[in-house]
Amino acid sequence: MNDEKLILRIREVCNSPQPAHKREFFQYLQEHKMINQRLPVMSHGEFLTGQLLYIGKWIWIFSGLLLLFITWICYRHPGNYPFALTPFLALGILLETRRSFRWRMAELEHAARFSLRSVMLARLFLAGTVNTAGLLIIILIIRPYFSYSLIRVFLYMMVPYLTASWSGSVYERMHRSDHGLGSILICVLSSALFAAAPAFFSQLYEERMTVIWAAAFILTACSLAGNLREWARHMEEPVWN
Amino acid sequence: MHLEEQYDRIYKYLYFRLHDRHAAEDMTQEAFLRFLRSRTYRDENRQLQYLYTIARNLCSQYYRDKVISYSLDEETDLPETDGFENSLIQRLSLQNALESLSPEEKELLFLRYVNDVPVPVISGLYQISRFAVYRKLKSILQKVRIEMEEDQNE
Repeated sequence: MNDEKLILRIREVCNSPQPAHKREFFQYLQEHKMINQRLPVMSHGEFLTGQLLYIGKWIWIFSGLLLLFITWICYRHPGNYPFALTPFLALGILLETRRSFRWRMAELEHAARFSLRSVMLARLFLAGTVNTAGLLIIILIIRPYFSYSLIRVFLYMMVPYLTASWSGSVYERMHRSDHGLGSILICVLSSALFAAAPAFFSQLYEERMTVIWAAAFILTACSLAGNLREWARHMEEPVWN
Repeated sequence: MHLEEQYDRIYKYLYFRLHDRHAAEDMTQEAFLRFLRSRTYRDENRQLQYLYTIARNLCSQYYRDKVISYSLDEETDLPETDGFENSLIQRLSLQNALESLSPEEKELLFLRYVNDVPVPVISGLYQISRFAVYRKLKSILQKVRIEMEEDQNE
């Protein structure tokens, strides 16, 4: 019998009768206006705002400088190679996940107010959202420097970024380490791959390949979401067991 | 935290501890009244832990006033639909296996797997780390499984 079946059996064995006076009790609470005395609950927004302050400043500085650099490159030397720089935008997010191992955050959890999973997901969400928003803004800014349509510039920018984010998150999930060499290497490799690809496959940035880029975008976005879900599920228990 | 949903769970927990539906319901209401009347408690994210702490303390008070044996239960009803001999045997061997656990182990198992209390709340209740909660749960499940196998072999 596996754990899940055993737990179901335990639930069956530990059944209990239904409470008989629940409705009357809650009526009493409402009549005496006691139900309104519930303590306020922290909203998701307040929690996220609190976590925003804990994300390393160097991540924001690095992302900001990189976005400025991409914009400048596109302005001065428009071509296909600036697209290969976006994988580095994922680097800050990936290295943020490593901090939990470096500082042994899991061991401090008992004293901490929030679970490691909530904290990590909140920080990933914040860093990812800000970086993606920054990237979307520069896509709009640099679009006039290219002969491509907006959707094509969007795909060329997003696919390398999502590829690095997905492969890096898979690596970080499977190899928990307190150094970020693996993530750095993955970002460098992703960048090199997208920089070198046109040399081997010259039609890569042609209009007829847009469908392939769109498919790659959907695939990497879905894979990233699936991997993050899996990561969140197994963030805590396997570390201890 | 949804109060009506937690009412059922706290009642279930107290019934599990006391094996007396009237006492369990009285104590559930007492726990809620104390929780709602509390004006000093301000830790917003540990309300569930606070509610369970009140319920546990009420239980301890009950046991202090009235010594009752702490066993998993002659009163627990077998489901009427369970007509198969095989599943009945499994159920009985599971009950025996649960009997062999210590009160703390039984409570831990109940809180986590029957009442779905989150691990951080349990670790707060017991004042142990989450690491310890995970390890204890894993070893308790293993213990139950071994006891069941031994019981069935006999």
